[in-house]
Amino acid sequence: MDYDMYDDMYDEDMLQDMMAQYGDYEFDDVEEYARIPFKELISSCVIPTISQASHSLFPIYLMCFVFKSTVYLGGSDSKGEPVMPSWFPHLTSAIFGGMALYSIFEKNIVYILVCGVLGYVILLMSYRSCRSYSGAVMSLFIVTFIVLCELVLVQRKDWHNVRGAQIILSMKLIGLAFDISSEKTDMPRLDSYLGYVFCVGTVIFGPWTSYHDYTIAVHQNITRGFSFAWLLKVIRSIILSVVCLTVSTCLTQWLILDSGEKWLVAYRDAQSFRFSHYFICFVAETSATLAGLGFTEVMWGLTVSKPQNVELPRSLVDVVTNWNLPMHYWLKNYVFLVAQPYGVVIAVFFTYAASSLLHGLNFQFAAVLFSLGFYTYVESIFRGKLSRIFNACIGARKCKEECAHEYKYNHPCVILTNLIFGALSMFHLAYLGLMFDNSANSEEIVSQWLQSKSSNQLFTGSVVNINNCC
Amino acid sequence: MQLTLLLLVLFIIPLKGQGKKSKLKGTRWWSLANIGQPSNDLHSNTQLYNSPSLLPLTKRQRRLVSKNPGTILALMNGARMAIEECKYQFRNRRWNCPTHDDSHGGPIFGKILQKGCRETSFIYAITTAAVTHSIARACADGSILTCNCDYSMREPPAKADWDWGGCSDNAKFGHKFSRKFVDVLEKGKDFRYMLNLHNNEAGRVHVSKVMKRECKCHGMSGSCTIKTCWMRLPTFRNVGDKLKDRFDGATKVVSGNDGRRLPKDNNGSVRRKKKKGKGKLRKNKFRFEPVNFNHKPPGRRDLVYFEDSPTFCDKDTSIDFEGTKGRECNATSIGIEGCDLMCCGRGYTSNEYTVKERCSCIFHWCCHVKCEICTRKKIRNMCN
Repeated sequence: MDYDMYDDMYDEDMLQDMMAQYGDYEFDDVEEYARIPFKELISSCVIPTISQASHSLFPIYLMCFVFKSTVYLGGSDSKGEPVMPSWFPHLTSAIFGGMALYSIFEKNIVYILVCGVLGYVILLMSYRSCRSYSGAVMSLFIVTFIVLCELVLVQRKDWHNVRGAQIILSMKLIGLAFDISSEKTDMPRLDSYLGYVFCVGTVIFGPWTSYHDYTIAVHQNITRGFSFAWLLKVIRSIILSVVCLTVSTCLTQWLILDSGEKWLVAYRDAQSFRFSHYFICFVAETSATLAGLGFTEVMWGLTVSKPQNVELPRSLVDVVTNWNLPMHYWLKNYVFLVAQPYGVVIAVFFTYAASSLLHGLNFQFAAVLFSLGFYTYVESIFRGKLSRIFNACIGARKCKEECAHEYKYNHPCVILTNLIFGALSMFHLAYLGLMFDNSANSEEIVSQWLQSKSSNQLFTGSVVNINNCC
Repeated sequence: MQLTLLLLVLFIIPLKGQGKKSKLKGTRWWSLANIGQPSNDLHSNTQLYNSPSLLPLTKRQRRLVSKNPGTILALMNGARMAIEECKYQFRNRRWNCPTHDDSHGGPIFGKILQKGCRETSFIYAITTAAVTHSIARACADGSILTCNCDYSMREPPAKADWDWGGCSDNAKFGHKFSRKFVDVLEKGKDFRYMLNLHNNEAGRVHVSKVMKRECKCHGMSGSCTIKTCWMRLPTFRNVGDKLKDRFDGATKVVSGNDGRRLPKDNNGSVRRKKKKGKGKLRKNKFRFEPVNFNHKPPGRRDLVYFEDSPTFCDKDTSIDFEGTKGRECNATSIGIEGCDLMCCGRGYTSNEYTVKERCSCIFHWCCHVKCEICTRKKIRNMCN
């Protein structure tokens, strides 16, 4: 009892007064973090990040699953005849897609919806008036829309938030429009258009799928139920995504401390970014598979990214390809091949221009993507020449089994050369990842990147590349 | 008979309470370290958790603990961390942070707390730092219900910081909680009170300023579709090292004015306003001034004391210190752990002892290690 007599006499103001006299305390020394015990890392980093991620992702996974099961259960009667109206699966997909969008973006969902709806209007108009140009018209519309949003309409942070979904949407629209203009597909009805564009499995994290693949997937969902292979694929993707998330947020920083060697720290930051990307790719795989996409004749084989080929690359071309396979396919089909008649260099230029436009009008994105384009071009030409001169399998892409080269992939010199080129690519990875500095505030990055990173590392990177060239 | 006893007890307790012990009553929570020994005995922990009245806490602390379920385990852990760290930091000094495990609620660090020397300030700072650290960590891993990652309160993205899917600020919580929990103990608005408040705050600042909430965006090609956050904490060894540095550079101070706080002339709201308007110094503010005028006035992170430390050479019951007799020392060192200084010139005795060690280990594929056992002779020096 007596101990508590004075308790309520405590007044925090007193402390505040005392502290105020010290003024704003500026910390003079930079805090260095020592390596915390692994157990502490688990409890302070791994568990919170995984729980936060699953908190945002679980609703989406659930909606994908519900979509697939609704379509399957309401799908066909005992004779295999569809019982529901043909618009039902598409609208289910679109409604769940809208809900998923809202659960992630909340009010920012507006930009996606507006773009999607306007897209249909444009598509319809161009289809009616001049079908063969609808691809070009749609590209023009998307470019205008992105530029307007980026520069005028949307707050930078909001745009940073929805940009991922916007990339997927733009790719879908342009792809669809080109398919229509080349008469690969017919003009979709509004319901199937909405179902495709806002497909619950791909609307947020991708991956990009063609309209054709989407219709096949919907059809398969009606006829095909759940299989063990499907479950296995889902579990595999979930586990891989969790691993990548952990590596990205917790492990890289824990393994290589801030006080480490400069290039090592740069490599670490870049690697952390790359694993964040793989995380998103595996999340995309999970959601798409849950929604029933990506079933080929034999297996559930949707692959968005191949981390092993990026982390231990054969060449930068290899990196670019395996970074995001659906996107690579899209760029190749709808940009590179479209622009190829005007020359390879121009096609390469257009490909990277399209890619950087999709990523937003950001100087650092554009700069790095263009330098990437330059590097890969130089690399593939240079290695192609080398492989011809030495008659060996040292090209940028892996040789086919029955190639005409004298020295095959198992010759020691070939292995050594490829290893050296691989190491060179890894060096570039450190530099390239810097553009997507993964800290949360992108505005700072631009200036920081311009000042520090470009001056040091861009220079070194370029020097290496020029050496490569000559 | 029983009644007289009861009366006696009733009389004695308040008398005792007004004595020296009451001054340190707030530090009783340190003995939490002894209660929840690191064990997986969930049962006993749950019991404590359910009945805070069993704990060596003041009423106000108990209220705080029961309002924030889950904090009690963090507090126990914090108390243990503080003692461990104090012992580690002072392992080579004459005063080696002795603790007394009497469970009668007495101060666990002994009567040195009644002094105002460097060691006292270090104890205050390290214990407060440990509470802050441990509470913030418990927050981060979600074992405190009132501060874990709060998803329901999504802030609109328009706010200065993206906060969706993030956690509430654990560092702030740890800081605030420890203020409420620890500073409450110090009563009597005198110089010593202010000194302890200051040292508490110094300990806290060493933790909370280094804690960072780090966030990372995940999305297609660097966009920010979802965001994950986590708390980056310094290791407590880091904090201990820093505080030890502050201990070495601690400032001896006197009161800048008469040492009394201001009369309560303003109501709270006005005060708060004043606080926000930075730089507005009020008259007659309490301040510490260094005894040596050549020293700069103490900052927020500095430790302050007002009494010179005893030599800690001989047994001194007034500070509950046993002296350095029987302490191990390093015969070749000239530092404070060397025998010359440690034994205060009384000399030391060396004795030889043998140890068995694993040696010439060989790794066998795969996977075990085979070692031999060697005996070695070692010399141990102890102060007389």
